[in-house]
Amino acid sequence: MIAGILLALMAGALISVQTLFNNKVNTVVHSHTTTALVLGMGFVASLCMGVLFEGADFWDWKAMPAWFWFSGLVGIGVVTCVVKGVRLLGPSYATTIVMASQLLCALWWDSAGWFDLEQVPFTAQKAVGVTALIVGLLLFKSKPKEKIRLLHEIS
Amino acid sequence: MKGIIYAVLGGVFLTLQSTANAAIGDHLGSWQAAVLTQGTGFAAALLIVWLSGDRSWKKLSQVKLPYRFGGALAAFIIFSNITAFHQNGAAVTVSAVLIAQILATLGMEKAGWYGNAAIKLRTPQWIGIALMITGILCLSF
Repeated sequence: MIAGILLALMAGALISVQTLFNNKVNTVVHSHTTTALVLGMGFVASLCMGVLFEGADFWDWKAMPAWFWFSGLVGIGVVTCVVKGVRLLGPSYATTIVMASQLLCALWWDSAGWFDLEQVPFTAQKAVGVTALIVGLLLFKSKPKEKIRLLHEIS
Repeated sequence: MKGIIYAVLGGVFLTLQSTANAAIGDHLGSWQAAVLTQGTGFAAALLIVWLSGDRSWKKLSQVKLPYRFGGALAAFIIFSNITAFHQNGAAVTVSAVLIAQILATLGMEKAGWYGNAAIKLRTPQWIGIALMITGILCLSF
């Protein structure tokens, strides 16, 4: 349990480190090159880990649907949008928006049962979660004047 | 405004990616999924670099060495994620990853690692973060 939580926390922290590194790369080269470099590095590293953990079994690939070959295009969208978002908004604000958008999409698609996902009902707890997430995001980015007003509303 | 659109789209793509990765992982295995999605993404990204006439890769040698390997961290992120997922399931893992990410990003920006002026965190910001973490927990469990 604890080991798993520590690993998950490490994964989250490493995502932040990766965002920082990608941002540093993007200060020197264009975002197209940044995206290619990031995905290329990820490809090589994942290939090494796969072969390391599974040995010869790694190469045993089953026949697969054609859309699998286009799954990488989504990764280009991820890296390009996140790098540009961070550059324009600053890392913390961009990360909070990316996360909120991610959670809302997941909630929406789960509730709708899209993409062959098992349909998950929209409950009161989820409604509270969405509200807390959005209010938290607005509060995080509130400007000094609004800050005072919002603080009054809370107290 | 443009930044907000990019960030929202980034979140949409991330969710699409994890949905696709889960389906591909079920079929081929997690590492095969990681190799396939990043490999095809890399090939397509190279094509985009070539088609758009982006020659800035010539300046890659000016990027500090560790930064160039940022993408390779993906392998460790995927490994930790898979292992944590097997131990604790989705709810605990997803929320722990997101909370660690938000706090680590804040810490790094506050420490000035991004090079821009360090952000000021006042009471509303802290309440905002606490509310967002509450939201993450409510949505994950």
